[in-house]
Amino acid sequence: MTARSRKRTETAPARPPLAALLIACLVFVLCAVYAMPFMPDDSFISFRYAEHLAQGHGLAFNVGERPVEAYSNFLWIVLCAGMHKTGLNLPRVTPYAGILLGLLSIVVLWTLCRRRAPLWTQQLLPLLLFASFGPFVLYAVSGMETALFALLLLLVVRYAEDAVQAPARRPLVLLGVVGFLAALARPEGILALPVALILIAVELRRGGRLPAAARSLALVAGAFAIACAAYHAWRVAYFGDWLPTPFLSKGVEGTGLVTGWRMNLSSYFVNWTYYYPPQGWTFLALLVLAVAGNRVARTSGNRIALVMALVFGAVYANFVDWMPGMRYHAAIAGLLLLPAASLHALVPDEWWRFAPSKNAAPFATLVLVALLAGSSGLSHFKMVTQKMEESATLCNRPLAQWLRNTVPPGSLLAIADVGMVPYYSGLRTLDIHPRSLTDSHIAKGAFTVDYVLARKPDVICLSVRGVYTARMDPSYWSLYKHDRFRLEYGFVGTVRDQWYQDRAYWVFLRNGVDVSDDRLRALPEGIGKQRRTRFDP
Amino acid sequence: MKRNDVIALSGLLALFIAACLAVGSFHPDRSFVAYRYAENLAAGHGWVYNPGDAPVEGYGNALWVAKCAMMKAAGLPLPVAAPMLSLFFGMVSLVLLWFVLRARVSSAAAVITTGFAAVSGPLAAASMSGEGVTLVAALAVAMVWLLDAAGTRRVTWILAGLVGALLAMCGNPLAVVFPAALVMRVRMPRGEGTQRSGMIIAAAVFAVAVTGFHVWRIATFGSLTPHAPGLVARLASPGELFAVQPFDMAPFGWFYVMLFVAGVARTRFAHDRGLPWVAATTAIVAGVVTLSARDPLPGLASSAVVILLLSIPAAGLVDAVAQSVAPRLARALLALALLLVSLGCAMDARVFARHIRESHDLTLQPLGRWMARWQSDGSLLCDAPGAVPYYSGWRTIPVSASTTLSEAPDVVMLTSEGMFTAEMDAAQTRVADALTERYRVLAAIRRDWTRDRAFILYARNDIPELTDDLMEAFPQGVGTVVRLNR
Repeated sequence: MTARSRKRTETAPARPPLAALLIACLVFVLCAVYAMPFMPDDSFISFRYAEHLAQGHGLAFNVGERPVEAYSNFLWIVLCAGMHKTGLNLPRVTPYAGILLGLLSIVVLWTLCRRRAPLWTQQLLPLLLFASFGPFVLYAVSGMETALFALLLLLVVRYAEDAVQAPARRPLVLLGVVGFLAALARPEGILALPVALILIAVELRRGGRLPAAARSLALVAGAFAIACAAYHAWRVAYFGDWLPTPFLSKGVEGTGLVTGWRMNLSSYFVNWTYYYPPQGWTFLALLVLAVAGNRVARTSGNRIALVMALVFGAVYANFVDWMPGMRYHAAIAGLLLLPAASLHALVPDEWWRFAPSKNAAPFATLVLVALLAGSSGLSHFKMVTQKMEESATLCNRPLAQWLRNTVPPGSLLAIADVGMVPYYSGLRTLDIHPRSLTDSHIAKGAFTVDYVLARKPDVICLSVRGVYTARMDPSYWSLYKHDRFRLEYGFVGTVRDQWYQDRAYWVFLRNGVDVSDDRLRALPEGIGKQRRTRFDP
Repeated sequence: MKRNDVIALSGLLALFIAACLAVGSFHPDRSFVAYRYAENLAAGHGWVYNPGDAPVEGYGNALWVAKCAMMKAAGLPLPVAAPMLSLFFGMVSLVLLWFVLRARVSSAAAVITTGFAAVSGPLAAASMSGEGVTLVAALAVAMVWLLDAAGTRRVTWILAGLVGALLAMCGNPLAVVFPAALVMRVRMPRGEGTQRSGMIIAAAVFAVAVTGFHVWRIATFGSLTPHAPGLVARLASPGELFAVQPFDMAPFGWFYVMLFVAGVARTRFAHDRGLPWVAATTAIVAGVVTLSARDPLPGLASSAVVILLLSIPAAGLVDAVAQSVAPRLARALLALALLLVSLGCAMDARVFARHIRESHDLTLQPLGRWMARWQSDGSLLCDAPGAVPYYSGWRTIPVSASTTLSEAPDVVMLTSEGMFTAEMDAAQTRVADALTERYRVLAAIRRDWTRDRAFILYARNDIPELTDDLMEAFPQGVGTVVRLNR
């Protein structure tokens, strides 16, 4: 702590030292409750893996089949498996686990803000912006690993800061541990520790302290490399593949690097999807604030946080994603707000100390403006996620329930959205998305009609744009028009899952699957009133 | 004007045009009501919605209708020319804001604040809408400027009163704005140039002009209040401001409240009884008027005037920060962050402007043109009195609680959620129930993906079956599903 900031602390207003933290936590909980329910389809892939792991089936998407690494959040799956093992219902409990992890992230951010802003009034604004930041709140309650990864990244920065100040054993060991956990939490998390170590080395070199700390840094790097090598050796041995399938399906493999960046730039800043507002501007504003904060206070911690955020932002630019609010980037919001916390130095100290006391009212105004800025983004997301929840409530869950009650338990379901429907139906599932997640044959090779038909799925749900007019992916069209498919499968009906483009599942049953007409008539209609069944004239 | 000011203002206008282009052109259904009135006015039919009918005050902005009529008389097609005029007044309002701010705050604060308003979603959306929102904004800023500048010069007071009266002609409830601003001007200390006689003159000019306008209104329409319930705006609920705007658009209420807090806070804490006080009061009064009506424009753009007015007191905050922030680069970065936040709102508005554009291009306009091809002189009862009646040219009766089918229109067009199962609100359901014996379903066409919002068209039973050619030409609407009863 510098002499200047120590002096500030001594003259801080008489407020509880935890005031900023408590207010931010309260705001975060309120925002999280407002954002619920939001559980995208992908969350259920993790839940299915976690339940199978907890039940002793290993990391398999389908019980009894060869394991496929269709997830990209190993640590989260292990945590979910632990929760399931204790009898907790994952779709119900994971939003609350996300809130808890979000609160812990706020606590870590607070400890870091305290180093930059000694007064509670100075800490409050960055904490509030983080606590009400739409993408972070949304994905904290989504049943996904975002809040866990955000927490680990903040911890990496925290211990990296400690290590720069005093490259002793404790911060370096803790840095190594959280760095390794980050590598387990997300595939790209493997970058966190190496980046942190390089930045620590650069900072120490500036102060001429690198030679003394070089051995410790090398030890941490070595231990991390060994741990990661062991983990990946196990992974490759277990799954038999170098890369998880999401890397094949969501990365830019098969397309040029520029194509991925171009697609992402367009979705970040111009047009995300039909309903979602583009979020790139908000993240860009945060980045600008972070750069400004770094300019105001050129500390090693600010540099580490900013560089770390930029590295992960650059990595995410390669992955095309459809979900609202830039879910990958949500985890780096805390890193960007950390340098931004130094911006308090732009306003005279007396102002933050409420001296003269009339500054209390302008301060309250600033707080209110920060809250309103956050609420605005969150209300936009709420509108979007309500549509997704409507789809889950009226289409995916009823369809899964219908399948569970209609086809024999051991049946094979072929579907492209392998989250909610497979999870709630409990059926073995063949992921027929052209960029398949859980079927390594399609993920590594390509969708072929012969392969799908050779697997003899009992139920096929094709994702189609249109209830009456079939506008399909060319792969599905080739299946739909195939003679063998027409011979072996019968149309049951449509279940609409989105308003936009009349997106619907077209459900087909393999001939010979014994289902009564009553059950067929019970096929849910999905959202809206447009549907078609085999009984239609 | 200094060279630097010219450069700054040019840059700001370029930024504004870029934001408008980002939002993109769109044609809200409501704008066609004004176009129809304007075309009838230009054609010599008077202030009527249907030529030959008695005048009905079914528009929201008389001054805008008059301007559109002038453009029409000059031979300009309104769906093209009116958005250009909206854009022009958007630019005028920004230029006025710049001059107001430049006289009061530092150059940096004026650039940042005007820039924030220039790229804000609501102003950009309003400027592309073909509605008179930006005209209201320009008049309101001009009025505040004149009230601030008015000292001992009577002509300035007279001008202020006239501009206030013009503002009152842009919407009957807006008549309260000038008196409220004038009262706040009275509260300004003498040192700010208060002149009692000037105020009395301004008030008198305003009163005479507004009285004259309302006398003409009552004489023309035969009623003190507008009496075309199907055409005038409905009240907005808080949920429409803060949760979901009509037609599933993102709520911008938070954005307005944020500006309100910033603007009013500055006025309050600075104990400034001058221009910021007048501007904030005008913004509040105008905001109450505009935000209380149901807004079909993305970003609650009908209230864009509030953004410009609140920018005046908020500029004081920006100025205070700009002066206290020492590193120049940090100051520039803070300003950039503010602009990015505002630009993000413009891109939000773009998403929903696209939905409106799609609805117009795929459903409303083709349907109107198809009806014109069917009959040139049909009669229509409908609850969307904008683009379809405009393009069809049909005599149109708006649906309302008091609507009866006594006029036996050829076609009734009702909005439903669902094309095959009609889910309508209570008023429409009553009309639909009354149709069962004398009308048949002709077709249904979707206008919006969400909730399958569609028009269901009913034709009177004695109207002959349509030819196959005509039915084949029935527009497809949004999506690929169209319901035709053949």
